[in-house]
Amino acid sequence: MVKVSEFPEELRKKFLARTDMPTFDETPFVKGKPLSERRIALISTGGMHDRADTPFDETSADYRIISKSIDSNDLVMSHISTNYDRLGFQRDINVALPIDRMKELEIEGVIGSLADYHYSFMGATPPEKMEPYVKDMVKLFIKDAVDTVLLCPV
Amino acid sequence: MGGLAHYIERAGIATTQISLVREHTEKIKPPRALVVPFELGRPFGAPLEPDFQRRVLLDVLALLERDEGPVLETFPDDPPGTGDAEDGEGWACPVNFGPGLQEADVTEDPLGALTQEMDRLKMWYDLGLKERNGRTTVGISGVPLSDLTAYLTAFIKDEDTAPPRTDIPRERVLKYAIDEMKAYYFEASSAQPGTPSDKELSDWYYGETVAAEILRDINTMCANSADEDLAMMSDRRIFPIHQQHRKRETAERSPHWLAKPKE
Repeated sequence: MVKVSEFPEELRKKFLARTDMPTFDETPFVKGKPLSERRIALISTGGMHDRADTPFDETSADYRIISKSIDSNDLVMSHISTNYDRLGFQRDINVALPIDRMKELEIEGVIGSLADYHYSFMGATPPEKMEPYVKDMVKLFIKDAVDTVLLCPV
Repeated sequence: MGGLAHYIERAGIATTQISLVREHTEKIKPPRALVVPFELGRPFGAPLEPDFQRRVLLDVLALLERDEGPVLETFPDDPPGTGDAEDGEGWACPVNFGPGLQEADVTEDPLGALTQEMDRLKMWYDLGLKERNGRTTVGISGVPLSDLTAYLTAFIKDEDTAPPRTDIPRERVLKYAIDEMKAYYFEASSAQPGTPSDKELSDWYYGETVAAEILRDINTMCANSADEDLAMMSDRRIFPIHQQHRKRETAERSPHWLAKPKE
């Protein structure tokens, strides 16, 4: 039911007609190494964080850091939206942030390596407000030798 | 999400992403995106389905090997378990909350009624904790759940009730309380026999529980509040977009202590 296609018609139209989305004249496109040589970080917009970290709130445009070694028991969500399913995440974090699946691909050599740190924003925030934090995050990617990012919305 | 992809790719780092809303992704045109036919909140399809999650993951990573973009592909398959809710014999909560079993009346004693209901779910919540090796999403606020539910039931009588945390705005405490109560019910219920879909659990939670009665009253309080931050809560932060129709039930059964709806 929380598929957008199954929203009540009026609400679906309202949801799809969001006016706070940025528009871009061009799409940048970075060619890279084979997958087996890439170092990959994950970014979620699910408002995820370590239980000990500060929860997101309605004003949050910044991000939280998720360690590669985080115990799944410590990973929680504090996204302000009620509109998406959390039951799946409650049962298995990998349905929203596939950190264990990525570790398997790393061991098998399908990807070069999985970054030491991953990140979460809260997707209810307009992207423009996140942009300064993304610039900060890119510096962290470079320090961690990350050349590829997998974005995981909720 | 697509906006972030633009910002990161512009800085020289390649991105690929899942898209849960094709229309938004087509508008933003990120460098690489895999549109999936899954529920919001489940970008990799289904929990506890590692083989399926892996398929989705390999498909979205494969977009990185394209030479030109933007790339917008579609994942073809529904996740395992899809359709359970439509077969007419879907999940039903085995804890009976029907009339006659509820000793406390929600109108007269909302905290008592809510506590009774939550107590009946406790064995399932505890079992779920055990099955998930202690994993729970309850507890984010740092306030005991019993204090949060006491606050919710006091709030519906008086919005100026002192919240259990005073270091953050009260609407945030209210939101934590609402979210943590829901997390408790969902975690408890998902431990029960069967594999309920989010729709089944949502229909039960927002349609049949004492908790939902409390939520409807909170929503009415917020909608009628002169406090703009509380009023904003009543838009979509209490009932999800696909359960908005539940709010309309309020008018017919508002408890006597609630303020009259706005003209």
